[in-house]
Amino acid sequence: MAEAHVTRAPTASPCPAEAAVKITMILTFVVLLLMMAFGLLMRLNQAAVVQLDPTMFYRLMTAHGIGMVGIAGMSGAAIMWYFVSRHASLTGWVFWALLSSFLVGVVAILASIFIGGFAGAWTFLFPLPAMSGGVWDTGAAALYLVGVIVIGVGFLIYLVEIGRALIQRYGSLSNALGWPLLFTGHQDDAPPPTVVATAVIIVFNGIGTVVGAAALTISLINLYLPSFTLDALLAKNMIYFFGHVFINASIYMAVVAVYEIIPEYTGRPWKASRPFIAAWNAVMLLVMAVYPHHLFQDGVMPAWAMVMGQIVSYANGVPLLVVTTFSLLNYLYRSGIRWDLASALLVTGVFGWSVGSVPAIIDGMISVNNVMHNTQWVPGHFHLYLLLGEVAITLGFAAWLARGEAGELLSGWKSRGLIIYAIGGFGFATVFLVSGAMSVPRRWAAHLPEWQFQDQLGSIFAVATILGVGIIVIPMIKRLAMTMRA
Amino acid sequence: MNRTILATCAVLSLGSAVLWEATNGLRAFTTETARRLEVLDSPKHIPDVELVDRTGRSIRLSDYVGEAVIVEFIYTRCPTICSSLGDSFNRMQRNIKPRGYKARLLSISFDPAHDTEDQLSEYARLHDADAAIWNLARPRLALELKSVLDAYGVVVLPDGAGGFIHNAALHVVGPNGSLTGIYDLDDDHAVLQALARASR
Amino acid sequence: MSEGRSLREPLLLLAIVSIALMRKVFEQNLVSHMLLELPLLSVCGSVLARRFVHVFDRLGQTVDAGGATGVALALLIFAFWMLPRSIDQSLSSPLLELGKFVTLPIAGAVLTLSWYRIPRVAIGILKCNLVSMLLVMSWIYTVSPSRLCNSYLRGDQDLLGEIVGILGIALGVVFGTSVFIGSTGAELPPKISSKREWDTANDNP
Repeated sequence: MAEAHVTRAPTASPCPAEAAVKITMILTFVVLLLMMAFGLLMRLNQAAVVQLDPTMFYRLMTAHGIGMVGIAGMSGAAIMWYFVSRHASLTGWVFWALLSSFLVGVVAILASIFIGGFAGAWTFLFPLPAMSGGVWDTGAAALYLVGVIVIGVGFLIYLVEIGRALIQRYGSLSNALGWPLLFTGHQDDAPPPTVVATAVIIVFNGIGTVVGAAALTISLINLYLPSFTLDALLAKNMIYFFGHVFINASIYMAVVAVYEIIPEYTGRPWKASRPFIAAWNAVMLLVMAVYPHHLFQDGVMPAWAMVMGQIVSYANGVPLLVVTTFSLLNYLYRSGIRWDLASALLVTGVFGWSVGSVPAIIDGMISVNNVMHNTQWVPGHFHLYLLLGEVAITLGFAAWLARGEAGELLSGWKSRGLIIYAIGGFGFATVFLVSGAMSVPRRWAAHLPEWQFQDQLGSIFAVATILGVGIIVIPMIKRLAMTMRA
Repeated sequence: MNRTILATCAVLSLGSAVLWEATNGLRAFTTETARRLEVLDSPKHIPDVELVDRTGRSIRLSDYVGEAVIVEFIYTRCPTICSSLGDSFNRMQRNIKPRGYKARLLSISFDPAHDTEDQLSEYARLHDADAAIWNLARPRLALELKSVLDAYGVVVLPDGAGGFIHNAALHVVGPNGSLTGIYDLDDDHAVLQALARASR
Repeated sequence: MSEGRSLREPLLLLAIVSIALMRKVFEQNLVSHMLLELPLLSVCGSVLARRFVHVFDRLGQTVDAGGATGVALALLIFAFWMLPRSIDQSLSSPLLELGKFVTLPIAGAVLTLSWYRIPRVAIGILKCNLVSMLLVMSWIYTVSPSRLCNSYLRGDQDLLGEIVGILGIALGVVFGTSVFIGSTGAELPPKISSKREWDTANDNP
């Protein structure tokens, strides 16, 4: 254990806005459970167990999408904030500003969906918000877009502040990205893994957020001045670039927890080696170049973009998984790791993330994509990778944050909760994948009778997931609230 | 800190008030939208300037007693928008008679130096103007031209190739001689509705 | 140096007055009106204010902590002069024209007086905002189906949109690159070997 302190700074200066980080974790639990309930409702509707009005189905789908993406981003941001503060001095009010803008945005979005009736899917694909066919009015669409813009502004402030802190601490972003070590091999300049990962994330997520904000602003102006249009294909490129980058950033932000927490358990410091830095820097470019794999169905896209999308899809997953998953295995091997809820969840998360990437790489092949992309194969992929990846790592971080004085080993309800959650999540995503392979379409409110058995099975796994997550988080809420008062 | 918050709030509220006022409550960001909104909100008095029509007769807006007048601004050499304006007036005159609206059409040239009585008559012939409904005229003096254009909010710019660029629209002047509405030249529906209101 | 200073202020005032006298030249077309006249007025105000940074320091600390008031005032003034309508009106109304020659130097001046109080993170946000606003403005000016200013030609509007777009991209590249190059070597933290020392060094910036 003593060695672990090499990578971990002495906690002399506590994380600024630590209370906001803890509130974010509690908020994450609440939003996760609520959105999971929305998801379950949708699956039950497809299974013909409950009868929802189709407009309600699409409202729930919109809320589920933006809610999950938003809370993934928010929890990832909290994790990264917490650990970056170990390496650079951050300004506390910035995280409070992010949290406040998130809450304001959430209220606006929920109102636009459940009062205004907006149901244009979380991706607000241009010009759909303006063309509801009477289902929602302009005001509802505008409120939704404004809500997302408010959250985006919060994230932009957050990213700029982290960039500022890293530059103040390391002189420039290139130093924080580890370029001196990467290009000259000077070992003593190496920034810790968290700093490298953070620098990479703020670069691509910053660009993604700005592009997303532009798409949102243009959509908003278009709502009121329909003659101001944007080329729909360009708008789709901008939106999917933003969406892809943002959701990837949220999981990468969460992965920082693995680099910082696992060494405390294994006693082996996680070092930023040259391959580690090379991999993360490669990811910075690949994650921005890979988004065309969302647009394989758009035949009008230029061929080079499609080819790039396919090639980069193969390349994208590899570097990170190699440096994270294999390093993790290496660190775990004969480390005598103490298994408690936090370490078990973190390790589950890394493997959920790795396994969840595989269906994406398969869908990243143009020939497969043409038949699979509009099936449940895709929700199968992103549920596997988010539900067992991002969510598991976030829960692991929260468990670590809420840990007691003496390490409590994994047993009793905690271990049962973890198993129920893991089986539920894996089963839930697998049902999607199997349905996808059988050509069951995605985003359909009503399903044919022959698909309903799978929908029912999926619903059962969804109940298990909610149950498992509930068992894990409810004691943590109490714990976190207590530590905040202390 | 507290004083800063006060000062910032003061600046923000003053600034927002100015911006709100300057955009007619976030409704008008351009001069064109603004002039249209403003006459809708409060009809604008138009100076009763003396014009010369295509027969050399002197006319005034006040001659049209109890009738609405749709006014457009043209120059007869115009190769583009003014011929659309002519088409739009042609459609109007075909609508006015059968519907029994008490309305007339008036094309005013902002190029009096070139647009003589002959030129105006030629333009009328080209667009099949019905003399009973549609008259064409020009101001006598440059000063009067300016006061007419300013009153309507029409801006005429030389286009650099001998012609002019101008904000083209259909201006509805009510029976009492005030400007009550400004519409796009293809927005027949809105203009006819305005005429229906004026004829009531 | 001091001699140059004493001459600087009168020269700048002269510059503002001469821009005002030459306004017909600047305002002949939309591009020089918006991209030369307006920025030049603000730059004059900004340079003029540099001398008075210390004079207003006390006042600034009480009513302009973090530069909040100054930034708000400057942004609102800029926002007003970004409205196509204001540009048109400055040509037709002498009062607004006068307002332009007064408010834009003021905007430049307050921004300069506030600048060093603005937190670094806010400066980063302002830069991001500037780039994105330029790009959105470029989009608006190029896609607008009609003329935005009654006083200017459509061709000017398209040209303005294109130039502003290029400007936005160029500024984005400049800001982006500066982040990678970072500050000068002098500001680099000293090389310290252990993590603990790094952190304590960090506590006293």
